[in-house]
Amino acid sequence: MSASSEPLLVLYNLSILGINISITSAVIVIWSAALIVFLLSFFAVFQAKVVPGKLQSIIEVIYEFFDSQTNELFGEQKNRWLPFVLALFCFILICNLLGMVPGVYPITANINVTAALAIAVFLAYHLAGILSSGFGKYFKSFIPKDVPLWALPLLIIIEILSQLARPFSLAIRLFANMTAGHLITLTILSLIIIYHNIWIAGFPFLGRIAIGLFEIFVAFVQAYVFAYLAALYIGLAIQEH
Amino acid sequence: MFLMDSWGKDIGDSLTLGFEIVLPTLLGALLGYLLDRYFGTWPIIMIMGLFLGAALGFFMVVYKFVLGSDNKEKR
Repeated sequence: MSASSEPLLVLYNLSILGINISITSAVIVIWSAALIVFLLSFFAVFQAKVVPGKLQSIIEVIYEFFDSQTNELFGEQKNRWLPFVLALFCFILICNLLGMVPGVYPITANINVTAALAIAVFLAYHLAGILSSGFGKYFKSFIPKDVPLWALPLLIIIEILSQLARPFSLAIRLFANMTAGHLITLTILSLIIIYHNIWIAGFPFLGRIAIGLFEIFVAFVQAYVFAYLAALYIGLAIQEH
Repeated sequence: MFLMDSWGKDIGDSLTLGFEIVLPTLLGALLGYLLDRYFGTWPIIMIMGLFLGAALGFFMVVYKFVLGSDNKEKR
C-alpha cells in the first residue's frame, strides 16, 4: 500500500559485471504493467470493429485525445512520436493504478523508476531534434546568437542546466506525487492504531476512501502530465531547432 | 486543440520553473561538498557553492522568463 510499508522483496539474486540487476518485486510489477499495456492494446485493435466494443472505445478515446493534443506539436513526424507518448501514458497510468492495489509494490513511488522514465524522455527528445535537423545544427542551436563573447560561457551553463532540469522535474514530480498519496494513506490509517477507539476508527476509514478516490484522479493526472510534457519537449526539439 | 505558440509552451515552462532554481542550488552545493572533501575545508566551499548555485538559479529564471519575454516583445 505505501512505499514505506511495502518492502522491496528480492526474488532472484542476479549480478552482471558487478552491477546488481536482481529480480525484485518492483521488477515483477514493471513487467506486469508492460504486459497489461501490451495485452490491452492488442485485444483493443485485434479484430477492430467499425462499431467499437468497450475496450476498443477506451483505447480509441485515449488515442484521439493525444492525437488532437499533439497534432500541431509533431506535425509530419506524428507517426514516429505519438506511439512513444501513448505508450508512456498507458504504462505510467497502469503503474500508478497497480500501486494502489494492496500488496503490490508502488513502482512509481520509487525514484529509480521515475528517473529511468525521465531519462528515456530526455534521450527521446534529443533524438527527435537530431533526426529533425541533424547533429551539428541541433547542438549549435543551443548557443544563443548575438551574444557577447564574455557572456557565452555563462549562457552555455544556463542552457545545460535548463536541459538537465527537464528530466529532473519529470522524475521528481511523478515520484513526489505518488509517494505523497501513499504516505497520506498510511498516516490516515495509522490514526486507527494511535487512537485505538472504535468510535474514532470510522473517520480514518472514510478518509481512506476519500483519499483513495482522489489518488485515482492523481494517477490519471500525473500520467497525463508526464506524457504531455514528453510530447511538448519532443515537439519543441522538432520545431525550434 | 493544443496551441503550440501560446499557452502550451508556457505551461511546460511553468511546470519546470521551480526545478530550475532548485537544480543549480543542489548542484552548487554538491560541487562545493566534493571540493571541500578534496581540500579538507568542509563546509566553507559547500556553503559558497550553495549560494552561488542559488544565485545562478535565480539568474536563469530571470534570463529565461523576464529577459526572454522582453526580447520576444521587441522582435
